[in-house]
Amino acid sequence: MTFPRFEPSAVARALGYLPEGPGEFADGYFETLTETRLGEDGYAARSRAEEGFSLRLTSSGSTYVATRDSCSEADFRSAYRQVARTLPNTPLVWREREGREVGGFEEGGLSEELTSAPRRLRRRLGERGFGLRYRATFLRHHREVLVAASEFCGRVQRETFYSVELELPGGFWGTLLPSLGEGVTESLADLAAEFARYAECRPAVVPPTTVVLGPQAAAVFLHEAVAHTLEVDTLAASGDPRAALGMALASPALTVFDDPETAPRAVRRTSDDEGMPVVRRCLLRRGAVEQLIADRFWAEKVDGLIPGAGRRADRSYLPGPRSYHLEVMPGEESPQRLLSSVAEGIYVPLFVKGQLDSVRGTCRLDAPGALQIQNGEISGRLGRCRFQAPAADLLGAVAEVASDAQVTGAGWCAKSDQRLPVWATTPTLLLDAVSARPW
Amino acid sequence: MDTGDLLEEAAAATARLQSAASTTSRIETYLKKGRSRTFSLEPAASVVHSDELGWAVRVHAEREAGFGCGSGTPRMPALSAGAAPLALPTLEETQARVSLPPVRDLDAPLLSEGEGLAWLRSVAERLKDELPGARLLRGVLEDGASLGVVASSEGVTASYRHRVATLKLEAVGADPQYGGVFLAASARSARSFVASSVARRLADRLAIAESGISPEASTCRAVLSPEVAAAVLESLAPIFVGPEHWSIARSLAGSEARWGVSELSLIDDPHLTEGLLPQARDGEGVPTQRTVLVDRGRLRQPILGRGDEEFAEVDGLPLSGCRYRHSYRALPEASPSHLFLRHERAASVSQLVGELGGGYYFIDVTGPVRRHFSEGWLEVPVCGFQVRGQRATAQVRGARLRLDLRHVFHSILGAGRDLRFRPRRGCIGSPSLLVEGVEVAPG
Repeated sequence: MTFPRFEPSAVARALGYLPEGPGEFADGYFETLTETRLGEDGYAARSRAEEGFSLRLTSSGSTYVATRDSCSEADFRSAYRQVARTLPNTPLVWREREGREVGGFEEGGLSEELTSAPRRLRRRLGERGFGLRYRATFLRHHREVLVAASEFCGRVQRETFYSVELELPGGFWGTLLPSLGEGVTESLADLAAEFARYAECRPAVVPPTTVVLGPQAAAVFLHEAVAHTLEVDTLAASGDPRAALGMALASPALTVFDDPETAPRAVRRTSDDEGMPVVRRCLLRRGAVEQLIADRFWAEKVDGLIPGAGRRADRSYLPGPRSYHLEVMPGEESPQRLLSSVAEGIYVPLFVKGQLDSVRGTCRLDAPGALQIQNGEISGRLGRCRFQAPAADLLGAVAEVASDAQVTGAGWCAKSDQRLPVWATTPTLLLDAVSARPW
Repeated sequence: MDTGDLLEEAAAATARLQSAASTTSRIETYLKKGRSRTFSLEPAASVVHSDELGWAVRVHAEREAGFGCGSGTPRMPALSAGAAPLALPTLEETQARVSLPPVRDLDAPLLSEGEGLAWLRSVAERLKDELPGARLLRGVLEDGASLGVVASSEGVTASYRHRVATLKLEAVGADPQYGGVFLAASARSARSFVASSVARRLADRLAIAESGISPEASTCRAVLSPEVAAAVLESLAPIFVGPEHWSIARSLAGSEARWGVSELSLIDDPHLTEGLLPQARDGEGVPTQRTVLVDRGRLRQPILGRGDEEFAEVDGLPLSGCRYRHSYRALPEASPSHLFLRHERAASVSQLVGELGGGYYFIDVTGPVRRHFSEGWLEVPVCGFQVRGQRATAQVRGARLRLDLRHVFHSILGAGRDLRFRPRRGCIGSPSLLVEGVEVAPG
């Protein structure tokens, strides 16, 4: 099984016959996906290896898509006919390259880095005196994408990353990791051990207080409250998306970018899933909305929007405007100094789930627990608590941004049934007067 | 491609993989070909034509095992040493003959581009008529058909044909502060969805969200729609699959093993031809059969399959194929096929509402179900109507239905003739139920 050795320019030429007027375009999205899953409970390895493509024609305000789970000339011809919606009189040119692959399945999914991870995590947890039962599943993901469109041929984009699913006393927690090195297992063990300790604490009512979010929790918060809020399809559901531009959405302490090119090296992208070049998009500058997250469809439809943020979970989904890698401009204070300034409050290291109600603009963040802070010192633990408030209120409550920007996975984002990995480089944040209730 | 061709392809792939592997390896190949059309209206009218070509391979060797899946041509999965065996069924375990009555709509053509988009537009228009200011935020209609086969090195072969349509809608009323409402439905064929009733259901939900009142805490009678009753059943399903959680079912039923009223039965029927996914064999090729889990109120057995022989032998309980493939990307997994409640006194829904006297008619679930088996309760967030003397007197939102699992099935007074299924891991279904003594609370 190999990735098709086709000539992208021949595909682009064939697609060039489909658009008939301004604002119309056609593209072909080719992908290979491999995923290797390893449990540490004696369960066998599981692997997934997929290839396929999807052709799309956007014409007269409608979109026609044909997807195939294999890549041959016959598949291409039948898909081409389906999106053209007629028998094209133009001869198709599908030229296969000799001896040169434009991407392909990556072998060696069961790498040492993956197979040793469960053992390393167990050892690290043991060192922390963690004697409780848990179940860990490690996955390695690799994806290669190539887009050829009616006007251009893209370059192959590659993403490799890991995800971990942990079933711990107190619940389930998953995260994304750009690598599985020794340092990563260390911090994973720290968070897992902390997570398990919360299971012994009672779910908490938190009256309005100072809340400090660790980098991992901040990543989930900003993904929900900034990224989802500024996705153009979310904004368009309630009116003209351009009305958001210039609006003071957050506290002036926050400047947030979406930049796939500064994501961790293994998942760095120079073009999106529509083949458009990515841009460093300033979503919030000192709290005010500067740019929106847009894909090609919305950029064609609404003046002033920049494409380059079109993403799709795989070939069977339509692309949509999505964030990829959020980057928060760090502040000057160290997180330790920020914590020591808190007279009374809580520290939340992670959220297990985040959600934005796009109709009401309400953000919901579920923490498995939190640490109590008194006079700048950790004084105890709380059980599960949920932060639920308008996204703008939570963003407006950000009083300080620490200097410790860390690369982290913001988790799997699920919107419109598409499950996408999202990344962030975020520091510790301090929020004033935020309340929470048990869940 | 017909079943015979695909079976040959699967057998050839199995032989090819086995020749490349060690001779002691047992290999099973699953192939699936599917076709679907997906229609949506937002952000633009779109039609996605998908041709699916999936495979899954299980390998079980002496000291290692593995599972792989993908698209295109089947390939050998990564094997891990020391892994628990992925035991494959033997030919003997799959040899019993089993046949399924003819299933309707399998060969009906998929919706055309015009039909699919027109249907969604019709829902959007009717929704506006039903509730001025309401609009569809998202509408996705998918119509698909598939053919799957299994062939193993043990000589096991099986084939499956499915036809399923799914609908997912999100709508919002004139004032977005009340939030959006979601509706999901499934049917054998997309042509059986009725635009006017779907629009009315969305409008009802939106109207309740906008002007519903919070209920007062009370213990009363209630009619639970199939959606609410199936959500209750879905959260109980794990205790009816395999021996692992059977002790919970036993403890809830008490020493006399009475689960509910004597008119009530709980059945898992893979052969239910009016169900969504009838199949004569499970995902491993083992023959399936109807299993009565609760027989006229009396607890009988969980769904038992390969691997549960020891448990079954003690009480002489029958085994059935029950390891289904919920996708070619997933391992076969023990689950229900069509798990549903049946009540011998079936009536129309209007009769059930008529018998309410005073109480509630809950039409939908508005959030996740919370359950606590050891304490024996379950809580469902619901919305619906307050009913007095056969008339709806108020719309009710933000209601919490608390059910005592030791008593709720003893309090079912009747059921409707409107059995509907929710596809989850297996299909879970129920008719409308008239229940007395349910606790309703705000929140």
